[in-house]
Amino acid sequence: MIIGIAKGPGDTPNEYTFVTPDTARRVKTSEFVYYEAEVDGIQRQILGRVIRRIPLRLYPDSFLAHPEVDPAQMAALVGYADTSAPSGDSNGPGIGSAELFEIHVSIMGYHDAQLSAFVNPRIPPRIGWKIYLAPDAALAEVLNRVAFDWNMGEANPGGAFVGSLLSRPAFSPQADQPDGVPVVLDVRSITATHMAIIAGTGAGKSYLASVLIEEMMKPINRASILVIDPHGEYDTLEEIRNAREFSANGSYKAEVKTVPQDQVKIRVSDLTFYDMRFLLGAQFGLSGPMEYVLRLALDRVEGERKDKTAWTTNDLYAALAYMQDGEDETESGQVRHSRASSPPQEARNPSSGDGDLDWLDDVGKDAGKDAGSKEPQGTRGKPDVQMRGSARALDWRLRSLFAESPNFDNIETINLHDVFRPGLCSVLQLNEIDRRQQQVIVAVLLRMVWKARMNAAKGIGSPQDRLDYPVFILLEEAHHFAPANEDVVTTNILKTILAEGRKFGVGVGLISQRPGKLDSDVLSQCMTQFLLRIVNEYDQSSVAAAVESASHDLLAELPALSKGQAIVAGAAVNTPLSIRVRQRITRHGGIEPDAPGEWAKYFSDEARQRREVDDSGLPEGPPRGRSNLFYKSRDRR
Amino acid sequence: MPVIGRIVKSNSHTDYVCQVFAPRETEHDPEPQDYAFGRFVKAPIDPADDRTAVGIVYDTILLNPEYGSLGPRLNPPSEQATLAPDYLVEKATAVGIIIVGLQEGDTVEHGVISLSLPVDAEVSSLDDDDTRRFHLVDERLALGYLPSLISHTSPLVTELGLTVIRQLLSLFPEPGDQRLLRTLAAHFSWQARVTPLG
Repeated sequence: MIIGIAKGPGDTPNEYTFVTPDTARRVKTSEFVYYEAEVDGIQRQILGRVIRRIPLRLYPDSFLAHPEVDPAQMAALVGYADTSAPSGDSNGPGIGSAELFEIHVSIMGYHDAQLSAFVNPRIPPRIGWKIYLAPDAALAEVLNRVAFDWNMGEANPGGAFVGSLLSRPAFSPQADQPDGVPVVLDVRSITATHMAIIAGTGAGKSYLASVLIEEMMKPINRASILVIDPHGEYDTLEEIRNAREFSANGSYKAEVKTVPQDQVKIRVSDLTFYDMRFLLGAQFGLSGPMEYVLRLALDRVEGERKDKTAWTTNDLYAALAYMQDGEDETESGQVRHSRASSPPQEARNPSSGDGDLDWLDDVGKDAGKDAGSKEPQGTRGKPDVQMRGSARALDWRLRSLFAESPNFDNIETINLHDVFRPGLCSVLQLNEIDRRQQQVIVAVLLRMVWKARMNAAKGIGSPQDRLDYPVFILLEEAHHFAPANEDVVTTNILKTILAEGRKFGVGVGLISQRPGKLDSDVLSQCMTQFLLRIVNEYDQSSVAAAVESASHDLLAELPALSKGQAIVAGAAVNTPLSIRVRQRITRHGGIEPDAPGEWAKYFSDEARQRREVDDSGLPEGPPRGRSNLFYKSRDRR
Repeated sequence: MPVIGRIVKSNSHTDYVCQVFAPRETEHDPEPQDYAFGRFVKAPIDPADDRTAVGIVYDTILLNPEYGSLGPRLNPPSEQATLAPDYLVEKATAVGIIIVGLQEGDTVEHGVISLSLPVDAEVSSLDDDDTRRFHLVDERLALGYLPSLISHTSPLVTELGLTVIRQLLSLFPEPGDQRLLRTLAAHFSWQARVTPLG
């Protein structure tokens, strides 16, 4: 379909312009057009993307003076006959749009099937060359890295049909003759080189993520996904279990498992010194001596478990008790004197041949030095009061922490094989869990997954210690787990996975509403980016810095995107695309609460009567006794 | 349709001068409103057919050879008619006419026409019905001559546009037409009244 005539070069060598009346209003920003040129003896279609639309011919202002008067009618009144107006125009014969546009196009090139990429032949169109609108099917073929099966109405294996091209009609596979261009992402790229969904609040992050999860759980992909859900927005994914789209002739049925926050368990022995320090330092931080005591206590309990079995909180308390009083608290709660027990070899000063408490004295001195203490040498043999105080404080903090949090357990821990399995999507709900504890839980989990995948790649460890298939982890509120200008316990492991996850089959999807608060290294490692509406300028510039493949004119659309519209760029598509996200198969869970509706309910007759019954202190049901004199029934009132 | 005069001269293909008939020169003397500023007039292109050019009076010129002859005369004014009978008819009124279209039966064409008027073509003014009919193209109100009209070099051209539209406002009372005409009138009013002061 010819839509215009080439006018000349654009602002850069990579651009050209063409002129069109665009009476059918088809040439939108981000639309794809092409011209034909001979490249190395072969006629090629040189594809380009519309980046700017400049009106060339406008009505005079005076034609726009009356709100009820169509400027086209004014033009017709003074004798302007628009012969290009489509017949049957509502304004009458000869009356139509008089507009003319200059369209700026960024040249992408022709699609080379062998390279699976666009090749720019650097042959700009000559003036007068015809410019065509790219047909839907041809466009779907060259834009998507994985083909769309038009007969089946879904992506081919390894693809994720997430929506359709924004500049074309909304694509619906169920339609008899579907219009539009389906956008199919390459799931292999997403899982291998990670992805990020960046958007402002309410722009549809979790909706898009759920669409992606749905696609990955279909029989064409059968993925193993874990969703870290700090807000409890993904519970509706459980509907996947009963939807026919997620099963295949009895050979496959997708599963979804929601792990509520009280069932998210991390074994305390899986916590590292840094995890503990991070958890304990939530409010006031840890002093130098406290950190040192914690390190020694952990060394001691870990050293005592040479058989690699898990230590418990009691072991840790016992180690701290030993440091406080020289007494060791046993698991039975009894206290044994330290002189009767053996101090930890790791903490003992090898040069010391004195009493059993000498290692503790040295601990005090060393820590005193670390903390900048001016305590003179020669205090050997005298218990260090400061260190004992630190041990007591640490003991109190640890007991408070573990008593308050049901998520850290002596025995139970997340079994990776329960949450990771091909065809299983697990949703780890972390809502109502303290932010720092969320971070530690995620850090431990990522470490476990990373280690299990490395074991599988290296062929070491028992089957329980390995994950024999690639996994994909979707991390909501990613800026909490890899914040900019701050190190939290998750930052390092996330960076490791993002940098090396490709080798070991650990894919990560980051979702954030504050890209400006997300570590820039982390964001730039996500090679596929989904950008939804972002209004905040700081966030926009962060995205622009991190997203290399999307051009500035595409990013300029970010504040103008509507809900459900997104820009996809990076490894999963052949070129950055503006898309309209498809409708979810499952219901959407991230819906805002209806506060006015809830307030109105307060004044409903039912709610008012219930309150009166509650306030009266009388039972609501009819009394079983003989008298019902004092019974307030709703009917009686 | 009173005949107002005849074409005596042209300044261009669309700009003609019509000398208004003097009293008793025709059966019905033309009234001043028949050749007033902004009045629609017509003149046959060829008396043999019904093609008529339609124009608008855009200017008035008074011709008076006596002006400038300020010296004393031998004959008193009461005898001038006897002694110099041709002297009186040299006083005349001429009007400038811009041709804005062509009418041939029910067919109307607006804008610059390809044909020209012959000298001595009789000019008559259009009545309201003819004026309305001239402005209906495909049964729609049309002023297709307006762009060529306002491109005329006369200093009175915007005022002329305003005058024309005011006439049409009374001839086309339909709300849709009124909206269009009022929008145009607002434009010309601004151009004629405010822009010169800006």
